[in-house]
Amino acid sequence: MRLPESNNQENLNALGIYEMGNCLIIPAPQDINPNSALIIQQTILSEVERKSIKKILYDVSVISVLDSKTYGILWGTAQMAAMMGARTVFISFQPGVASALVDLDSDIDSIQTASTLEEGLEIIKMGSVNE
Amino acid sequence: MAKNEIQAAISGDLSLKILNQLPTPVMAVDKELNIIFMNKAGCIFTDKKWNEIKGRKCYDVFGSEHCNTENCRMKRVIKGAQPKTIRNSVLMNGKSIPIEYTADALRDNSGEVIGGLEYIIDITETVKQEQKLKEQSRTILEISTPVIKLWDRILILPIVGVVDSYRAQQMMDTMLNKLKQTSSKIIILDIQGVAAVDTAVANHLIKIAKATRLMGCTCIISGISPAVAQSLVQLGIELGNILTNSDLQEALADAFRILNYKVLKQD
Repeated sequence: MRLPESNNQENLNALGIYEMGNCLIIPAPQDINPNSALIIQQTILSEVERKSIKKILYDVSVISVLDSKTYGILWGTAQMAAMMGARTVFISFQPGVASALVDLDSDIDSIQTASTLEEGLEIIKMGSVNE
Repeated sequence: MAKNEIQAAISGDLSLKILNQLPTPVMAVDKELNIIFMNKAGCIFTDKKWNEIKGRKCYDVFGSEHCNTENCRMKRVIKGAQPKTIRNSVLMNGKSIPIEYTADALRDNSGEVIGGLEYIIDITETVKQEQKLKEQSRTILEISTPVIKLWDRILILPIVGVVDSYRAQQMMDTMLNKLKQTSSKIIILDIQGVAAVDTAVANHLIKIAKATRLMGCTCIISGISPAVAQSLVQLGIELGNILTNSDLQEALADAFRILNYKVLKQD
């Protein structure tokens, strides 16, 4: 899949992505769809490559509706970033989203989640595995 | 009673007598739904005399929900449908009475359909019982998912009784919402009170545990008895990376360990 090469700084601002040290904080848009998820994925991956990002906090707590395709992209983003040496922690899916994902039998064992942004930062700081 | 006494008591057409004394309304109509027969119980049920009913359209006499609709079994059996028992409700003296009626085609000696016949059973009591049962099960359902905050960022959900898919879904919803509210980190599912754990129940539990993981929580299943452990292994159910414990105390200890809490005895 070819996506337009991201125009980095502009994209970062438009998506509200913050960078702290070697950590990226990405708030997912509330009305996330496969397209926007792919754009975010592209941005994350190029940032990881460019700035040797090691940690990614993907805040998905505002998403109220998530289809399995979009979830697949989020999941894929985490796997891809892992291949490039960056760990991804998702911040708290909403209750409805969580139960829907389980009902859809999505692969959720291989992703890491934290209940709050604070905890996400903690996990990343400690470098420990979320049990 | 001697045989001749019985014969004397029911002189005349024996089957007609019996039909008239049958304590449930029985009615027959012709093909145009004109009433051609109604037994005594039917007259009492409709609160009318036989002379008033005779020859009238049955939908005028009963005025039930099915009357003049496609649902009317009487119309269907006349057209050749199979007899079937079905629920309905009739309006009698401004009061709606739930009934169950069975209709079948009325045939002449050559087997030609010449109308329909039906019998009616008053199911007011049954419906009342059913409503009561529904209310009770709703009450049980409401009290069956108490998510309790046990400690700072630790929730517990004791499960008692039978876990079916409806209840599992409800447990999941209640739990996830409570997790969100309290932004807890640990949820303990205590299944000590669950009578039996089969594949379905285990699947529900695994689902719940997975969903909590998506919200950044850890789910500990406690109260796994020897019998449950045996059946889980024998059924070949993998609980994966879900933490399990035999009792609540151990589960709480695990929770404290994950949250780096320590219980100290004062000197």
